[in-house]
Amino acid sequence: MKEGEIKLGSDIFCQALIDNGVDLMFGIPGGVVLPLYDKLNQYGKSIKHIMPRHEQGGGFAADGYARATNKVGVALGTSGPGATNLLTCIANSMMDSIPVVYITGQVVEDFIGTDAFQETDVIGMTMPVVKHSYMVTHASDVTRVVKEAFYIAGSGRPGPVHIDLVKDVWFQETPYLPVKELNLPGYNPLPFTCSDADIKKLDEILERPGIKPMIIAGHGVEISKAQNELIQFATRHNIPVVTTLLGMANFPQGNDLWAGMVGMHGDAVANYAIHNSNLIIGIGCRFDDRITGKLDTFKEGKTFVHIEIDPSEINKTVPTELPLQGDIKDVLTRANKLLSEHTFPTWWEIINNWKEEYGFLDFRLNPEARPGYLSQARIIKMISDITDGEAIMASDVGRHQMWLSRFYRFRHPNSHLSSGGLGSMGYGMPAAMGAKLGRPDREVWAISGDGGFMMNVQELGTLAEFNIPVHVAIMEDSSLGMVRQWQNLLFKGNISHSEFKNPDFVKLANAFDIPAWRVRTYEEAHKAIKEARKVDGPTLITFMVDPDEHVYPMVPPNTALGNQALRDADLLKDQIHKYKQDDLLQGHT
Amino acid sequence: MTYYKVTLRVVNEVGVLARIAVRLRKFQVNIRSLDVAPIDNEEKFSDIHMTIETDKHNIQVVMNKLKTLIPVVDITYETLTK
Repeated sequence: MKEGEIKLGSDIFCQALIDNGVDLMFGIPGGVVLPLYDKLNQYGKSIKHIMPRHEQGGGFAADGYARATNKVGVALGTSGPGATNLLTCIANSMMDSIPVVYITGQVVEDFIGTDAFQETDVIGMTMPVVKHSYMVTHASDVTRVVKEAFYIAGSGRPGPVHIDLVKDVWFQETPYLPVKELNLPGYNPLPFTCSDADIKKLDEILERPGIKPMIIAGHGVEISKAQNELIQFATRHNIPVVTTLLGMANFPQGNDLWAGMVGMHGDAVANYAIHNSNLIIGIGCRFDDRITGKLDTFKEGKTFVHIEIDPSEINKTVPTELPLQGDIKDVLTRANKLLSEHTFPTWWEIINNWKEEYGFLDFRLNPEARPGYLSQARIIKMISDITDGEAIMASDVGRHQMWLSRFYRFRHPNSHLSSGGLGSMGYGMPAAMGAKLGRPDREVWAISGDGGFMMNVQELGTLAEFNIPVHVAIMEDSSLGMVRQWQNLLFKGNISHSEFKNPDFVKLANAFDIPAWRVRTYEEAHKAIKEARKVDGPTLITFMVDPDEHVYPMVPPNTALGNQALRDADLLKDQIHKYKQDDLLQGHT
Repeated sequence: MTYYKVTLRVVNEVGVLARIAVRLRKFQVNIRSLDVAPIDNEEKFSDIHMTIETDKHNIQVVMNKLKTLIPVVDITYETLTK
């Protein structure tokens, strides 16, 4: 398309996507976006379009694509239900800072406000869960809006940007004028950058007597691509590193400084270490309630240093003595030049004792399943061993999500895709689909419970149609496992509406021409995993797992990390049980 | 209840007040008075003056979260004695 050429809005929109580097999008056509689709297939050489079977599948796929590639994902839905179906995906991308541009159609401008067919005020709906949003009412705005949207989504602390375009835009004729300069006076992706003098203050803090430091590495390390700088930083100061759920895969699990994943179902070592430390260096994390446990205890007696790009995260939940604002890679690079080296031998002695007692990738806290059932933790460890930690693992939400994060040995960043903040069931399989399309060179698995799998089961159709080689592993126990665990342990075993009847998943997959296996023993599991990996296309394995295998450690709501439960007995003691009930009544979730 | 006087410099565009109001509502902040007017000849920017009341959340956190809105250029605030 030549600059200044008079073109239809629909053409200009397609060209604008290409100009911003889009080569893949997920979308479902419908009423108001049909004029766009009338053009879209003519741009098929540049933009591969995948039609999922539900907008939520497309949105999660775009999110998974963005996580696996570090590029901006694109998902599209029509007005009304197409747009509302994307809401969960938008909230998911917002909570986890994932760059995705969500596009929705809107009814013609004259119909807005008349409650026209498939009209919804979708900008109003997405406002609390977007980094930014645009409503486009004229084709002449298209190139500017699309450029700004991709820039905002992918820069600074990334996030979802929503573009709602009224139907008129597609038909309007206007000159194609690519935008060269952005004019966003209210937006600075890097609002503050700390000075060298600020960074040097960390030396003084690390040299205080009796200091017991810990690093919490979050998702920001992955976003900033600062994995090597983090290793250097931790090594220089000899500080144990724990990661958050989304920070997993960003610190080598074989490194001596590794101390596990922290949080509600984190590693025992990590939780004890954080609880007993007195200096927390948070790097690209936001001190979420699943990480801190009981906040008052978490804060007590600790000094906080926070390396973070988003100023609104500083002092949000913990009082920060030394905020080091800026891009993590830049701050750590400078810190590695400016700061002295340190060692903390006494602190390490304590940490090493915990490491010896609890270990990592270790089943001591996860006993074998009951006879006749498989253990999810062991299945995930088996997949980890067979794939040698090289695969991209997309997780759904629930117990398997926790086991996946702790029993898969991730060897590369951008390999652990998990709905962390929103905790949205149904995420796993679509996210794996997006990841595989973005990284065809990598092996991709989706680990899902039967509950979450059924929430976006329709995407089996997309996997089959486009022959996307994703291996789907279902942990089948006919129950919402994490809900069941809470009901077992915190609600006196009252299993209320968390059990259900499954279809025959093997027959279901076969109906889509997807090869599938049901396995009941570890030998069968081993064989099925190996068979599945030989298939150049989607596969499905359903593992018959124990509904009553509980994830441990568990930090119940409003409990300090140091009081983590390591086994059922810790939670079922009468007084603790009662205490939890009181907490739940007080609204702690 | 604590009262604050807040001044925001914003890009003068459709929906900017809604974005601010949505974010304040999330933090259970009530707007007591509000005044919005463009400040330049081209009407590219507006100043929003408001008094708000809240006793639930740390005001600095609320203001920081307001600043993350893309059309918000600048924020100043001060505590009011009623």
